[in-house]
Amino acid sequence: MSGVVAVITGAAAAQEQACRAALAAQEAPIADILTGPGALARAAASDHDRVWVLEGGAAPRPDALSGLLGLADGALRSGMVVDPAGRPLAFALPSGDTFDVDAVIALAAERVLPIRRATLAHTLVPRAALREHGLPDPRYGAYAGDEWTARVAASGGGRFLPASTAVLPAAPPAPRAIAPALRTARTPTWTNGERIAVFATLLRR
Amino acid sequence: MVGAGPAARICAIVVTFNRSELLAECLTRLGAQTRPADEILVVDNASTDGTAAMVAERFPDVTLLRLPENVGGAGGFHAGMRDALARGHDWLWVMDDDTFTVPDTLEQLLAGGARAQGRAPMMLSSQVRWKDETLHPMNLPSPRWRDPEFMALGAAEGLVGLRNATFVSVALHRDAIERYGLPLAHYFIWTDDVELTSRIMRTEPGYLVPESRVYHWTPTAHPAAASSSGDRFYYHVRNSLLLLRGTSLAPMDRIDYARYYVKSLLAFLRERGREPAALKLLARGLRDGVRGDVR
Repeated sequence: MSGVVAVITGAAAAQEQACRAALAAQEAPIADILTGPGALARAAASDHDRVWVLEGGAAPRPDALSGLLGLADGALRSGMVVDPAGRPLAFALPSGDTFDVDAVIALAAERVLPIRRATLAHTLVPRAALREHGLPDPRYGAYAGDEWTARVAASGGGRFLPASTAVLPAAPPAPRAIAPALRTARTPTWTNGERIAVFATLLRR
Repeated sequence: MVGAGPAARICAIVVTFNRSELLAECLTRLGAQTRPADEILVVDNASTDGTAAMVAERFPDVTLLRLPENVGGAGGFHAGMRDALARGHDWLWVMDDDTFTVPDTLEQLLAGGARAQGRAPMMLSSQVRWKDETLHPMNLPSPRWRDPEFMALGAAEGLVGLRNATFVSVALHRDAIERYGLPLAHYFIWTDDVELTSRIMRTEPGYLVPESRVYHWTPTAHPAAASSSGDRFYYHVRNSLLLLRGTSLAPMDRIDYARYYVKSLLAFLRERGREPAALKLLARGLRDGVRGDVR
């Protein structure tokens, strides 16, 4: 087998239905759709080339997957999650903070942003990344996706394509636990500037 | 507000001091723009190398503002922007005399501004390269990573959201200057550009337009703080402290700038820390920066 397997995370039945309908309308073919507990692990064990992880209830626009597949490079490929009015949802915005400004300029001309990590709300990765890095680590709580994608991007590059969008009716509630945030910020893929930002955010809360 | 469309009136402002050869090249290139500036204004910081005569003879269409004394880059841009605003220009396209444009620099800059979505940009910046085509370390862009939504929406239009920029091909909208003020002339040289653009972009959008390019024709490709010859480093030390003490930087940007500042001082000490004159210069800059002594 080859192609893309879609993984819908944490979806209620109605949300999953909306997501499935949007997946059926994708321009690019999807070989399989996995949901429920352990879906990501099953995707890792499959024979598909790429894994597209979607937040439950997210309805990707028809060109969302083809846009991500069409990128020239980047192991981590993330799109923009917007509300029904088209406004970006902050929880799913990726982190850039790359020091390679040359890449920022070159990719901007292609409407792409280099990123250091993303959430797993609308993100495409090679299945090989799941073998190389394992599954997202639950010790990082709500930040497990950030921590995991940071490792994927560190080894294979990260790209954010704003034109690839998925509509989500509402953002999930903001995580409250402090310990996973601190634990995540201490991982080596975080920069000092990002750590300072995390501490500032926690202090503000 | 007049945006970046074809109706916009653009004034190119070039500040110069005793570098008539570089200025001539800069003006020649400005005169060959596919979208010409509506006016080119040269601010001459009381040059003594015949700059004024050269401009009058070779570039008769260029407006010359000759200052009675050298007030530095900061004072020159302050005077030039004030002058251009008084003549009704919509955009002030500022640059040093060693800025070499390519034919479509301005056309691309404005095209980038026109495609920005949401609030109209108050600042548009070119990418700045050195002679060898690498990004000039003195003018590295400072993306606004702390505002991921702004960065994402900018990227969707092929723009890089910025938090500040340097005066090497930067277009500032007249509304920005009227709202937030002119460059601080008392900075004299260095950091005045970061201060002004940070002041504006704390609340207003500004972008780098990747398709708009210029060359910064310095003899070597060095970051500003590494150019520690003579008294210039004094201004870096003093003005950076003034910037950190002021209100132009957002809180997190202040932390970032403080880290950069400390690193630049340590690099200076590593290089010149055994020279009594260099230490004196550093101490004087710190003292004046702490005191706010800007005479």
